[in-house]
Amino acid sequence: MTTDYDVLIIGSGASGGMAAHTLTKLGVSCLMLDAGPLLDFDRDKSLKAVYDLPYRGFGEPGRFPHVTQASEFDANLWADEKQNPYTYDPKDPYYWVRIRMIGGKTLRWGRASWRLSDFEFKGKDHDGQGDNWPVSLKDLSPYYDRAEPMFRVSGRKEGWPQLPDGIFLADESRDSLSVQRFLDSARKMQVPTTKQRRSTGSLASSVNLLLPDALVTGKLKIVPNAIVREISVDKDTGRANGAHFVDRLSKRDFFAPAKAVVVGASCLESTRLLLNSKSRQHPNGLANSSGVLGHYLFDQFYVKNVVTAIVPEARGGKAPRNLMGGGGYIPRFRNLADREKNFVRGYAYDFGSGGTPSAKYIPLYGEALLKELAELQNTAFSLTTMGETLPRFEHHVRINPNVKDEWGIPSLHITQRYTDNEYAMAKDSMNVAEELCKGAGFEVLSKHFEMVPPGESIHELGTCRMGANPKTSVLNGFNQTHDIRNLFVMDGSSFVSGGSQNPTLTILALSMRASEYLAEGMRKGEI
Amino acid sequence: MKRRLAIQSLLGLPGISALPMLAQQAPTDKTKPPSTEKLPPELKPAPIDEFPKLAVIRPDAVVAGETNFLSASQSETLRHLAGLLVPASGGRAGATEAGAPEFLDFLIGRSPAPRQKLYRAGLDKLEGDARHRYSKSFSSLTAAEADSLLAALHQPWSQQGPADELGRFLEAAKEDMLRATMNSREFLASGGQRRASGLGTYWHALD
Repeated sequence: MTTDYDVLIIGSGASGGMAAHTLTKLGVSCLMLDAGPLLDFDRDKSLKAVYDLPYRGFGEPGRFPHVTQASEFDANLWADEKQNPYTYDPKDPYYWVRIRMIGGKTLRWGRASWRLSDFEFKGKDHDGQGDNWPVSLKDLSPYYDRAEPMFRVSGRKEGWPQLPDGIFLADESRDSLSVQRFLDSARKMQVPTTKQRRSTGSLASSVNLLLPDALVTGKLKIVPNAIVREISVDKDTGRANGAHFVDRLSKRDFFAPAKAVVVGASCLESTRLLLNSKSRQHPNGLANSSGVLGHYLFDQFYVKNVVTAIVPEARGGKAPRNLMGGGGYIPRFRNLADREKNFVRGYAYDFGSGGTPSAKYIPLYGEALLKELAELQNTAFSLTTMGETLPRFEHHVRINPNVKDEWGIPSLHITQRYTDNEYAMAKDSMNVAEELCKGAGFEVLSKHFEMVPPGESIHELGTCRMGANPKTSVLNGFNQTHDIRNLFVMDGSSFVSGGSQNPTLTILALSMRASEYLAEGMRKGEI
Repeated sequence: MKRRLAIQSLLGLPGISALPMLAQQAPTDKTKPPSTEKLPPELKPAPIDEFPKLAVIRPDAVVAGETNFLSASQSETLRHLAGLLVPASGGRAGATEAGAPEFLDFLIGRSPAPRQKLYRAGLDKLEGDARHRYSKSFSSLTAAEADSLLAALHQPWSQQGPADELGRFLEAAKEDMLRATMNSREFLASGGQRRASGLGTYWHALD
């Protein structure tokens, strides 16, 4: 029954899905393992009223202490934290948010699709901070050009160096009057604004945009519920030759042989797998001769609702039909030309018009509160900050041998905290957002600069980073490990820096590029 | 006979003596299966290969939940607080009508220890303050008297949140009570507006 596959792909989300899509179209046979089940969109969902849920929409208490995104409606989609534990220092909580099923986090992502720029790829050249990537925007642009149409990204071209344009479905929607006022305010402050760039369609996931095409080639087999515990290396050749995995349901062990291995299990799961793949030849984990595997963990900090304002003309349900609704995006505008602030790098905002502000912002209760909430229905205008965090060696993950998951696999201990640079940036973003709202004639209801805990943005990046130097990085510019030629890591763990742009589009482009390199290398017999 | 009575009961039909026409249509040839062609639709048996879909209802739609987390005194305080925080208004159900205090007794009773402590300590503090200031139970206070103990709810929202434990409890209770009320069957049935009528796509547990 055992078949030799050319490539074993671990993970089926953005990176694994794109690897399967690219490799199979080039004639490479692939076996894909994913730790979770396959969702049946007909069988597994139904329409329910919130009062028919056991916890009236609050969710089961304590079930997801770190997954603030989970609602009682979709709780069964998120990885169970008891089955999949991890640890951190209680002083520095880390929110590790996971989905374990075919398609991974592309089943629930926010769909924001921004390219990185050379302000990220070559950031060190610009401001001396951190490290450059071994690739530039020019290297990755052809792959962005192909990934954007596949994911039906809508947007508006602007010609900005910090937010490169792409191949978009043109967004020519009209802005509401409140958004227009906000845009005018931003223009006066010389703050750039644009439309959102988002993947469109009723579902925008690996499961409908990548995997079906790969299956049609006849070159892909997908095994769900396959939890990989270790990547195997041939002692004689030093090459990766497959992976040991355990069936999630029966807990039966299996071995999947392959000529090459692609890891795309999501940022921290991929690194965990490499760290757990220890042997006499690789005592510190696989592909870790540099000692940096697990290090340089970062993400993007979020300040949710950094400012919530009221559009006064909308009070009491008096808004004309085109006053409220819509939104947009403000790209990074700090530290582009010169060092201009008390922090390095920058931040972006999402902004949106409409909805009712949270009752927690209204210092009333009882009848007075209910009347005020009715008065403020569909009056809100709010912004959320997404800021760049700096990768630091001391922010890292390591194996915690004392805590194992339900399948006996050692878990991760995670260390990341925000530093003065992020705090200064968050505070600046609050002040600018307040000024923008006031300039638009909005009433500021609340403002704050409290960042959500590291990890909560679900943009965890780094820990298996690329680099030109094998002594300070794990991967080369094609996501190939420096140590083992036929082992690739294609997800967000490969990032060197992240800017403030959502990372999924870049993960797709990197995976496509690396997969073509792998296929070509196999064809030439070099890998 | 039992089945016939059950059908009569379900359909609200009169007794057997009122069904002479049906009796006359009984098959005379006992070697053939009985014909159901001429039966009224409500009395036709379901097709043999059709599986039933019965309408059922959640328990809290028909009976009250038992409360067993908070003490009797704490429950009294929470019930009175519920009426103050989210009163019935404009024909819409309030927290009391929505059974929100009883639901929160259940929810908090299942919650992590810090949240349980916040509720218990907060309710005890309200009761203690009422006894100290007005020499009577919190549940006996008028709205004006209670308002003096709920001053934290008049403070503007801040990033740091309330400094004292009572303020933190009241902030949590306000939010929880509103949500428990607005997500209730009673609130929605009484015309309370809620986004998308409280409907959502529910994802079932997977194997």
